[in-house]
Amino acid sequence: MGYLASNTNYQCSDSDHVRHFGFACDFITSSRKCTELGQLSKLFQEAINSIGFDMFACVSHVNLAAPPDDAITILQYPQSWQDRYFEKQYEKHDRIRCISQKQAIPFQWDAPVVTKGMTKLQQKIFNEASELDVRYGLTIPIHAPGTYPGSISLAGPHKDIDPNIMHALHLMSVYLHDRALKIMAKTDPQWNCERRILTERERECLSWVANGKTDWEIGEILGISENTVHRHVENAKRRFQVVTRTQAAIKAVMDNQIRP
Amino acid sequence: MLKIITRKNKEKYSEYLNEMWRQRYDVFVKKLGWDVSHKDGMEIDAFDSDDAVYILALDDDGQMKGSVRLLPSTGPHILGDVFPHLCARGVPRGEDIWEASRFYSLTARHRLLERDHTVKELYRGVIEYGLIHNIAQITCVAGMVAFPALLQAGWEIDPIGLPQNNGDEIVLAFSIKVTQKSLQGLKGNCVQANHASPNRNLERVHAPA
Repeated sequence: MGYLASNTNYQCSDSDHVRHFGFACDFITSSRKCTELGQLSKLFQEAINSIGFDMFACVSHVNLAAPPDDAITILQYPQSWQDRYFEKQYEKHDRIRCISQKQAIPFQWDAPVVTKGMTKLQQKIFNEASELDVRYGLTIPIHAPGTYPGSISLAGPHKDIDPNIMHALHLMSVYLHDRALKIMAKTDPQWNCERRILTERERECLSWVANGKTDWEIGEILGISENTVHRHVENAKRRFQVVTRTQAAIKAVMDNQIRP
Repeated sequence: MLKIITRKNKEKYSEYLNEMWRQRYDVFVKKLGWDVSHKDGMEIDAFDSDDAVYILALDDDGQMKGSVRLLPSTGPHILGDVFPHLCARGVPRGEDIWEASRFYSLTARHRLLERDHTVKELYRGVIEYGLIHNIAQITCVAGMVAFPALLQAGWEIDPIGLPQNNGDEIVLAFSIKVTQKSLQGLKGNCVQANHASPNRNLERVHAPA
């Protein structure tokens, strides 16, 4: 236990490596054929059940009670736990979520990084989850530019998880999250329309870009930091799916969102 | 603009190579703290041989903003010589398999290699170079931390083995399919969420090898 958090090299024997890699690849190959989230979720659920986990959650770290359209919320936890979690807005305090936003590598729920320094409320959330059988598990944080931070958590009744299979779960989880994002990008037309509309700040920034100002200059004009300006311009580029800031400005003009 | 440097033109472009090795020193030794050989402020290793092909990204003023090194899998390369244990079914080798290593961009805003202009240009450059030279797949070793971003770039990626602990990080060997579909995927960029990257506070982030 706890080897993920330690610095010791864990070496699988060759045959274990091949076997567990095959297990992960089976999931990855099948996941590519999934065209909707329910199907993908069922596939992952079946895979983890076969190795002794009961349930999982694959979520973007957003306000779960009112998630944005492009956020992932695949939850297979007991309904009673989900209801309580939403109602009490536990995501604002949840220890697991808190750690996975700060840490990039997977961790088990009984690792010191989790158990040491918990607030009273965090301990209470942990205890309540345990009572509803969300007790032992591990979490794989996901951080990728241009997407919400997220995580995949797997929970089960057993404290001791075969360490050989951990790396396979890590790999599968990253592919699960990626596939979920790709499915959502294809199937959410509302999001695709909305994301072409610039925010107020993006419009302001792009207007100055159209006038040849640099990020630093725009920051001085608007009284915000250069980094913030950069972020607004980058967001505008993403919205229009263009590569340069000039292209973004041109698109915004053509779209009547800013004046030339 | 991209510039390709091979054994055939490396004499002519030695200044570019020196600049690249200096930048690699800044990125991999100074910024990321990698334990790799370096001398006189340049990061040069045993794999920077005559077999290496370099793709350099230059901006409009001719300034180098990033690069990536390609090595044939039939000779010495990182996966075959340093990380063979990452391959579950043996190191993929063949005339049509090359390896990408020492990828960096100076214009990315943070170490997860946000898809800025330079990163995109280099990604495309790797696939386009591969298509022209009949390369079927590009192998690579990277930290798992960077892997979600690599998948999101839009090209087709298959793992070669399970992730493994390597010091205090977890690394993975994978293979990128060199196909028109991969190239189209990079151009289409499957997912582009409409908000900024929130990953500035990460404690452990590592660029690909």
